[in-house]
Amino acid sequence: MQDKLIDIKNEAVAQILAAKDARELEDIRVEYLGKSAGKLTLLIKKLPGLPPEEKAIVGQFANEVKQTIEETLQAQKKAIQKEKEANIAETEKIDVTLPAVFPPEGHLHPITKTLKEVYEVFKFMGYQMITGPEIETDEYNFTRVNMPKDAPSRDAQASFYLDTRNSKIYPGEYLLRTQTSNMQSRALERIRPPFRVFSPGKCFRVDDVDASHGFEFWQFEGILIDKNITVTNLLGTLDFILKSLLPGTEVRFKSGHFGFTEPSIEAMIRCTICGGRGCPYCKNLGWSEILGSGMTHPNVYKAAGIDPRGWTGFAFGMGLSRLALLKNQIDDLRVLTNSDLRILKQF
Amino acid sequence: MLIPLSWLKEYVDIKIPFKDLAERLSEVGLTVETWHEQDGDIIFDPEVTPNRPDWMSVYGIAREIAAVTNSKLKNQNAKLQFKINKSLKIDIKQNYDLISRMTSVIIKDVKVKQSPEWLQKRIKQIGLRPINNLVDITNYVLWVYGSPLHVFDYDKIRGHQLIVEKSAGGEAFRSLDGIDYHLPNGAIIIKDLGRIVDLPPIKGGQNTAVSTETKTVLLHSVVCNPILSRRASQALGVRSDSSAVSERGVDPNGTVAAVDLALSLVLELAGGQVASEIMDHKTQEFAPWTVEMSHDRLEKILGIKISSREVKDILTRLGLEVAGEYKVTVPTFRDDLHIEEDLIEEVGRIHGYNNFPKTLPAGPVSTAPVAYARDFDLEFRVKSLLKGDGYSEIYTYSLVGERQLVDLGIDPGKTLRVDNPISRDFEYLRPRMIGNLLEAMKLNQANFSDIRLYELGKHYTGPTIGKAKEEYWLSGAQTGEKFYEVKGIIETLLIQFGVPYEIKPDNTSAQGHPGRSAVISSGDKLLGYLGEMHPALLARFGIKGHVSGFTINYDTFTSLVNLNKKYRPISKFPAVVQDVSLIIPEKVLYGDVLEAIWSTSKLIADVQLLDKHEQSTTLRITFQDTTKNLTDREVNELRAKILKKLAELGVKNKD
Repeated sequence: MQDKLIDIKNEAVAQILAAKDARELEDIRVEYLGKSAGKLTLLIKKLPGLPPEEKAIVGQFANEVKQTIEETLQAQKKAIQKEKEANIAETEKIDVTLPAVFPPEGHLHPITKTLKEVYEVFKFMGYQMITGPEIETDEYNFTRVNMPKDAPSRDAQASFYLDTRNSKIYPGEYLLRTQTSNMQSRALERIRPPFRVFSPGKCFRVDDVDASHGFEFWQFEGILIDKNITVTNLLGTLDFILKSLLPGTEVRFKSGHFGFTEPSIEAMIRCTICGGRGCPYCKNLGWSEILGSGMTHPNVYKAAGIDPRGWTGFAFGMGLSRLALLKNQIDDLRVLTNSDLRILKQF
Repeated sequence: MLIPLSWLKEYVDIKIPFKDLAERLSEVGLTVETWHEQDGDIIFDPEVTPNRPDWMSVYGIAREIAAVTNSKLKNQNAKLQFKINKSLKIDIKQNYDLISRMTSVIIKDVKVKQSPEWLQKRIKQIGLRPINNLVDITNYVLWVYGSPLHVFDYDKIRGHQLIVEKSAGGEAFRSLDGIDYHLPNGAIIIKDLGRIVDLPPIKGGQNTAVSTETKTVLLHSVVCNPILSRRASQALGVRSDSSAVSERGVDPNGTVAAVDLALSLVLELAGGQVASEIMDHKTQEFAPWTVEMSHDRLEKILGIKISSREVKDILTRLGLEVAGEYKVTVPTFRDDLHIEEDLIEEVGRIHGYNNFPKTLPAGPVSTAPVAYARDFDLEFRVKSLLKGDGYSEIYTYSLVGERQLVDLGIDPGKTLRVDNPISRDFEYLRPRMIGNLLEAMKLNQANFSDIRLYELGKHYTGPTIGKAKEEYWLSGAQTGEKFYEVKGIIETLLIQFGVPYEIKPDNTSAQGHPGRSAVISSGDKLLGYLGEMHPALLARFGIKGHVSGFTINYDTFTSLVNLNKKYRPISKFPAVVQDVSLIIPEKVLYGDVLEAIWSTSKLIADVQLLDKHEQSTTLRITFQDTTKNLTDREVNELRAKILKKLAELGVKNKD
C-alpha cells in the first residue's frame, strides 16, 4: 500500500512538473485527486479495509502524499503563470498601429459652439440669456426701436411678411424678425430695470444668397439698462466682449447710425484674414466692421413706457453666424446651413 | 455717390493724405472704404447713413471735413447779379404737402449744346453720361448742394402752368429717358394743361424735355415730401440720384443757392437772358431751431470730462451756433439734430470715440428670473448627451417649400407662409423639422452608411397667422431599424433630466411606421414620438433603407426637467433575486406585464428582461426591503402574488 502511494506520488509529481499549462494541471489534479475516480482518492477509499495499526500509519502517509501533490500543483501553477507573464510581450503581442475602434462620435454645430462661448462671456459679465419670437409684429421689430414706418433705415432690412389670409390681421402687420432688436422692445416692456440680458436668435431678411448673405442668419443682442450708464461703459463692455471672443484682436470704434441708439457706435476689429496688412476682404483698410451699438434712444424708452431721464443704458448687436465663420475660418455663410456630414464632422 | 477729391478741394483745404482723411471721416460716421485713382484725381464712394442727406453733396462733405480737420470752409459761390427781363410767365399751383418749396426761374434765348470740357469731366467723374449743357448743369448742381433740380422746355409746357398733385394710380408717364411707367397711387406729379410733365423727385417727363431746338427753359429746384418720395420710388422700383437725396430729406433752404448756381452756369454756358424773377413758392419760412444741452448731462452720458470750450468749438465747426452752455441753433441742413442726445453724439463723435477711456458698468447684477429667460446650460447639456450618442447637430432653414410639405402629408393651406418668398423653395414656415431632417439624411446617404443627425429648432404652427405658435422641438434621425436604440437614447435623456415619462404604441402619425412607432408622454402632457419612419415617406424623400428617429417637444421637456437629486443610502440588508419564466400571449404588451409586476409590491426594487424567445420570456426580479432581511417565505408569497396578477392578463408561468 505504501509502495503504491509512493509510486503515485512520484508519478504525479513528475507529471505535474512536466505540465505546460493550467488545463494540463487540472487534468492531472482530476487524474489523482478527482472526487470519484482519482487514483489517490481510490486508494484512500481502501483505507477503512486495512488493519487498525496499519491504517493509522498508511492513513497519515496518504495524507502526506495528497498534501505533496496539492502543493506541487500549486507551485507548478504559479511557475507556469510566472513564465507566461514573462512572455506576454511576445505571446500576447498586438499591432498597436492598427485602426482604433471609435465610440459613436457626434458633433456640435459651429453656431452652437460659438454661442456657448458667447454665453460664457455674457454670463461672466452678469447677463441673463433670453429668447423670443421670430414671427414678430412690425411694431416690436421696428416701431418700438425707433424705426418708424417709412424710415429710410428700414431699407437695409427688407422683411418677409406673413400671409394673413383667414385671419383678422392686416397684411404687413406681422413679419419674420429682421433683427434680434425685437427683444429690446420686449425686454424693456417686460423686465424691470436695472437688468442685463442678451438674446441670440435667428433673423430673416429678403436677400440674395451668396457667400456673405443669406435670408436666414443668426444674431445676438446685448441690452443693459441701469442708472448712470455711460459711453465709456459701452466701449469697455464691447472691448471686453470682442477680445474675449476673438483673442488677440484689436478693437476700434467709429460713429454709426441706428434708429434705436443715440449716440450710435460701431466696433471694428483687425481684419482676421490679413491681420491688418490690407486685403480685398477688408478693402485694404485692415479693419472690418463687426458690431453695431449705442446708448439706448429716448424714443425706445418712451415706447416701452419707461422714463428716459430715470434710466440710461446701451444695446449692441452682432452677427452670431459671422462670428462662427470668423472663429472657424469658414469663407461661405452657406456652410452653416449645409447638413453634409463631411462638413459637420470637422467641428 | 461718387465724389472727386479735387472737387472737394474747391471748397475746403485738405492737407492730410487721402488715406488718413478716409480713416478720419469713417471714424466720425461717413464711411469711406472704396476709392480709385483716375487721371491724377481720387474718386471715392462714401457710405452715407440715412440720417445725413447733407453728406450727399460735395459741399456737405467739405463742411464735415472742415469740422473734423479743423480747417476753413471756403465761401459758397458768390451771389449772382443779373438783370431781369420780366417777359415770360408761368402759373404755378403748389401743393405744399407734396412739395414744401419750389424755387423756379425762366431763361430765354439759351443755346442747348455740348457742355465744355471741364463740366463733361466732372459729369464723367461722378459716373454719369454728359447729355447737354442744361441737363449737365442740373446734375452738377445736385452734386454740389444736394438739391434736386429739373429743367423744362418752357415752350412745351402747355398753358404755361404747372400743377402739383398726387397721382391717383394707373396714370401713364414717359420719362425723359424714354421709359414708360404706370404710376402708383400717391406719387408726386406735376401737370401742365392736361399732361403729366414731371415725376419729382424721381424723373422728368419726355414731353417737356430739353432738346437742341429748345430756346426757353424753366429751371427749378424742389423739396419733395420724403415719405411720398420713398414710397413712389419703392412702388416703381426706381431710384434716381435726386430721389435718393429727397427720401432722406433735402435742406429746404438749399433751393435758392442751387438755383442761383445753376442760373449762373446757364448764363455762362448756354447764354440767354433771365426772363422771370426767381419765384420762390414755399409753405413757410424755414427757420433754424434751438436745442438745449446741459454740460452735466453731456458728461454723464459720454462718461468723460470735456471742457466747455472744446464742446463749443466742436459744435461751431459743424456749422451750429452756440450760446451759453448750451443753447444751440441748428441750421436747416441738419434735420437729424432735434434732441439733446443728438448733440451729445456730435460732441462724442468729433472728440473721437477712440480717445475715450474704456470702463465697465458698476451697477448691480441680477439673478432674479426674467421674462423670456432661456436655460442655455440645459440646452448645451442635452446637445452634449446626443453628441455622445453619435448624433451630429444640424441647423436648417425655417422656410421650406410646398413640395416638402406635400411629401410629409401636410396641407400647405393650413401652414404659415410668407407673402414675398425669395423662391418657391422657401415659402412656408416649417410646421415640423422632420422634412429638413430627411433631406439631410438623403444628402448624406451616398457617403455614409451610419448617419445620425438632429436639430433643436422651432416648429411654426398655424393654421393661420392669427393662431400662430412657435415651439422648440428636438428632432433626430438615424439610419437603420433602430427602434430600441433610439428608445434607449430618449429614455436616457428623460431619466438624466428627471422627466417622468411613459412610452406607448402609436399608429396615428402619418410620418411614423404604423407598427413601429410610439408616443412619449408625461402625465397628461405629450412629450413627443419615436420610432421607425414610414417606408412610404422615406420613398417620397428618395431615401434607401430604413430610418429611425425621434421628435420631442423641447418646451414641454424643459418645463418638466427636474435636476434636484436626493441621496438614498444603499440598503444594509441584502436583496433577493428571482428569475421567472413566462409565456406571454401575443396580444399582451411587455409594458403591461411590467406594470402588473411593479404594481404588486413596494418591495420590488428592479425588474429586468433576461431573455426573450418566441415561446418564453425570462424576467429577473429583485426584491428589497430596506428595513430588514427578507425571508424565503415572504419572497415566495410575493412571487405567488405576482404570478396571480400576471395570470389575470393571460400570462402563464412556465416553471
